Amino acid sequence: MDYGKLYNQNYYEKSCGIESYLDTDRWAPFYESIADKIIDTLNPSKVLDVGCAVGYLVAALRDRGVEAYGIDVSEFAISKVREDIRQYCKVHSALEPFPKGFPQIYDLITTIEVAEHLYESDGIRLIENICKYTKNIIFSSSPDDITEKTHYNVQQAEYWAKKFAKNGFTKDLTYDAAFIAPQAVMFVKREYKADRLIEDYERTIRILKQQMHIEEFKNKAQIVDLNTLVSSRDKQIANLESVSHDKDKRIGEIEKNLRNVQQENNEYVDNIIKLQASIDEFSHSSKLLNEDIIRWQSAHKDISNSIYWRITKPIRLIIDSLKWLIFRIKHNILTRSMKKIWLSVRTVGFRNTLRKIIGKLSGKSSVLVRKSQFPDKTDNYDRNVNLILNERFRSIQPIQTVNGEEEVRRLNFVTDSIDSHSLLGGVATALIIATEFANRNNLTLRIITRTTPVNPVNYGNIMKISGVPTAENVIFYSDHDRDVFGNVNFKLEFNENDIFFATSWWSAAAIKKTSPWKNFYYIIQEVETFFYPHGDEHHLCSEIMQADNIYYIVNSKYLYDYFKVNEPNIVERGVYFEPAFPKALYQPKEFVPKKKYKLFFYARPSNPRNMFSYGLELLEMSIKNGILDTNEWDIYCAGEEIPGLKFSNGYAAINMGLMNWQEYGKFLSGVDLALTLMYTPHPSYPPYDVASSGGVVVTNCWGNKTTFDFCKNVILSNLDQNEFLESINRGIALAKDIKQRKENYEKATIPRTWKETLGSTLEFMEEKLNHV
Amino acid sequence: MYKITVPSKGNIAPWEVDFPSRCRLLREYFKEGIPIALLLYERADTSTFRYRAYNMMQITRYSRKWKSIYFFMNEIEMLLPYLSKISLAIIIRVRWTHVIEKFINEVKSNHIPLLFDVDDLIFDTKYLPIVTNTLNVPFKDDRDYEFWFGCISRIEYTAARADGFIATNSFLGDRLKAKFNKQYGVIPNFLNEEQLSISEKCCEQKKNQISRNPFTIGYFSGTPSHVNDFRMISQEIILLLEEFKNIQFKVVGYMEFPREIQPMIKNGRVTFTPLVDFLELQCLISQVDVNVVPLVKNIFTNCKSELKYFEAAVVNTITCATPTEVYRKAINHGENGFLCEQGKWYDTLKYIYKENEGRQEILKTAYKHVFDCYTGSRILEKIEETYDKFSIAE
Repeated sequence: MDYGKLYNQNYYEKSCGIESYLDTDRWAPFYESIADKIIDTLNPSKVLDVGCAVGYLVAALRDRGVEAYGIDVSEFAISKVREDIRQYCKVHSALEPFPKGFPQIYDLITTIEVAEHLYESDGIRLIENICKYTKNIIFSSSPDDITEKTHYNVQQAEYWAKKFAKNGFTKDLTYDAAFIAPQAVMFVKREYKADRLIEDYERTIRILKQQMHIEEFKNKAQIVDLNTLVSSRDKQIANLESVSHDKDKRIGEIEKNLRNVQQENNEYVDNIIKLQASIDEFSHSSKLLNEDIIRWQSAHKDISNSIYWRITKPIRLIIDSLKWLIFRIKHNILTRSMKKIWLSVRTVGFRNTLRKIIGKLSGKSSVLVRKSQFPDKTDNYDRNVNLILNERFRSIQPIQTVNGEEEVRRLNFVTDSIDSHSLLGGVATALIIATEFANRNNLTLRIITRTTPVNPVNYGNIMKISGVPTAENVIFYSDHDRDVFGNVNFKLEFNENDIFFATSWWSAAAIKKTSPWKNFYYIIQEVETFFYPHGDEHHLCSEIMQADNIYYIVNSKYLYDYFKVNEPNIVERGVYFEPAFPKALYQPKEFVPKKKYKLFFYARPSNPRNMFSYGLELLEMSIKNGILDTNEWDIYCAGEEIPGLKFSNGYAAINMGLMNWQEYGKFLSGVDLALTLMYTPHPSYPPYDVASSGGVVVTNCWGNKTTFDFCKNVILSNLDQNEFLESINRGIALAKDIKQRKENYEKATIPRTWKETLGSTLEFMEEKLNHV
Repeated sequence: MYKITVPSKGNIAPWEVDFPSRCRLLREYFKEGIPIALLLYERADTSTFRYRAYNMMQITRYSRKWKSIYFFMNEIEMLLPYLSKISLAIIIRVRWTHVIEKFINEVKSNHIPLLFDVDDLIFDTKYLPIVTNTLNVPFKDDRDYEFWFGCISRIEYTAARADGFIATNSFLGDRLKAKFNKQYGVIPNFLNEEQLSISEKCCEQKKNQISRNPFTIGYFSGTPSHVNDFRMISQEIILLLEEFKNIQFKVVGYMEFPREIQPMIKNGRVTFTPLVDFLELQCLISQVDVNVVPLVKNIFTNCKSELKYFEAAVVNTITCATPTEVYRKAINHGENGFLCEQGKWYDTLKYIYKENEGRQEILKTAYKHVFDCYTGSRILEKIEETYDKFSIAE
């Protein structure tokens, strides 16, 4: 029988089961695992796979370093062997002596699902042949697949065992080859006497029986467990069903209630519609009544103003009095009234008593109706107070905290916002000081904003512009979305090592409420009480100026000197610094004569201290008096609040709108003259800005602010109009005197780096570090 | 953004193996004679349970030194007969009950080392204010306080009974040691076969594509407990979305976003996908251009595992994370991902958006890092070492 012709492409694709035998992804891993197991258990060096087909096992063994070979009768199969191992696989019958060129002795021969494909006589020849070349054979042959067309000799295990026994091979009872197939076994060549063989088989039977026994016992135990589990689950299911039933019932009830509620709701809606109709009707009637009232009032006015009415007034009063008297006599009220009158005469005199009587008769009362300051609410008055106070003083609500890690040391910088529009000179200055201090003392800087969300990018930007490195460790927090009572879900982590840094009186007040037992720093950059008329805020602000748990950091000697006299507590507990104006931002473009010069009018209309209107008036007067020639000067303003400005000569000022820091710096570099007013001791930053950028400034004196020693390009003037106009004139002249202006700029002593100006301030803060 | 179609997922709850089957496996393990670690968890879930129990059991199949197998609280009674044959008992963040006490007593009477495995700073009521504050827990009434204090106290009580601990990282381990004065071992979280398989399929789809518009930033922690984490970067995200019209922010999950980002949500620049199973999640992560992991930085988040990093790295997605203790160890900035403090997210995400070339190198490094450290033999070694440590110590 030419077996080779049977095993063609069609066979391998369709006859080896559901999956094609040529599907490497499916079969290769299977044979790889067999190879692993063979190597693990037997560690053979030389292996022959008889009936190797496409060589999966040969390849797997070769990949693992075993000298493996294969033979198969199918030319098609051998042609499909992996290219790199094809040389080790040959088309050859297993019934013939093995091919020349192949080893003649093997550590192991495998023959997997081969023998049943041969007729019985050939099967016997197969066994006889392979037994010559090895002492160990892994043999597998299907015991029950009789449907496969190419299975010519399907036998049970004992049949094959007998065949192998005739060739001196017995089954290795200790080797489990089930990793290949349940029927796979290992046959080993050995000299075995019958008694020894019987002993081995009996032992194996005994052990198997024992294992079966144990498994049977365990299975029984497991069955009991499972029954218990099932029973318990059944109970659970019953409970759940009961619960589910209850829930269905409840749902039914809820649905019924819902329907009732909906019905009620519909009735309410109907009532509302009816009420609305009544209200409309009432409104209409009310309107008509009002019209009547107006008509009657008009008529009444006409009558009251008529000559007849005025002439007859005394007579009418007498008649009314008599009527009043008769009524009282009739109802015995007179006696009581007479007594009252007599008492009144004795107390306040006849004339005043008469006035009272006339007043009562004419309907006027001397009692004033005091109007309540607060709306008349019908609900709980206590709650209203709390709400009102919190709404009123939201900015000083304490920051809600939660206990945090103890080891961390933080400098908490508290401000309203670090958004671009809020990051004006003051907040930026405060940030710079806080950053420098944090870095010097190895503190984490935590920036806390109270009116807007955190904006970490802006922090980086402002530090960059100012030429100051950001804090080594900086984190951000905001409670801007706290509710009206100051409650917030995400609280600030806080421990005893936290240090606070306030940037305004209200942030200082908030800090006082947050940690009333702690001292803290507060940078003060203006006389903040000036922000308010006398009232609540003024009072609260004043309290902060007199606090005994605050260390004050004062912006500029001007303020500091003012506080010496007016708020000595600040000076006793404080230090001052001069602000710096980095060259990166503030420097002149050039000092050259121009056809048209630039005048910068700095004032915010919403900021009373800037004296916007007075400044406008000065400009107007300067133009009218010929001091300022708009053919020679352009007037610039900046900020989003400035309205369009047209002066009496028709000249319209140029509004730069809102500028970011870089734009502002660039703009200033071309400014020749600035007019900036500040009705406080602090000159404000614009004079410094402009002077640092090479411009001339005209600004006002105020209190102790009488000179500007940092730069002669800054001219201070009293606020008297004539004097000021004269100063503007001088300023214009100086701005055009390029040589002098340049010289003044070069000799200016305005601090240009924060390093040079913050030394003593930082030392002061460090001295107080153990107390905050 | 990448177009990744979700391949056939297979079993999305492969840990749903019934008790008898697990018992059978236990008995097979007994037969093999290899030491067994019994893992006890309250009930199956797709987060902590998956990482600390299911994955352990899966990977120890390949170990010749240890096997581990998980069981649940309601199976304790049925487990008791098997206890004498196990070598290690590991309770995974279980809240104390009388039943667990019985289990613990049984374990101790058999002189079996008892370990407590935990992946969060939830075993000490001292940290409860920080934990609940970070998780945005609203305390409305007494019941909320009772619940949280009860929960953490119970875990603390169970933990105190253990002989040692297993933590996901050494920062958490140090906190355990400080609290209970006992040794700990570290077994980090790692990927399971199912995740690896589906991730491979996603990478296969991804490798032949280039990212298309919109450039998508993915945020995969969309639950209410993460709203404070998100607030750490919200302004910077808004800035980015305002500046670049073809950047989109994709959130998997849903939470109440802060007020300031609502306009972006209304304009469709912030999109939402509902929470998905752990396999589909890998596909979603693979679709985005960058995965952001912002965290409030405190002792609680410092204890959290870096799983958001390796879940993304295995599907070739870049991660930007807050540099908590664990993320700082996992990510080398600019090499296998990015670390961003507050104030740096805008610049970093902008860089990633603009810089396409550099991304590929980072992705390769991150991908290799995942296979070196969060899968396979390295993890198995750590598990074996940790188990050995405690069983030998006993």
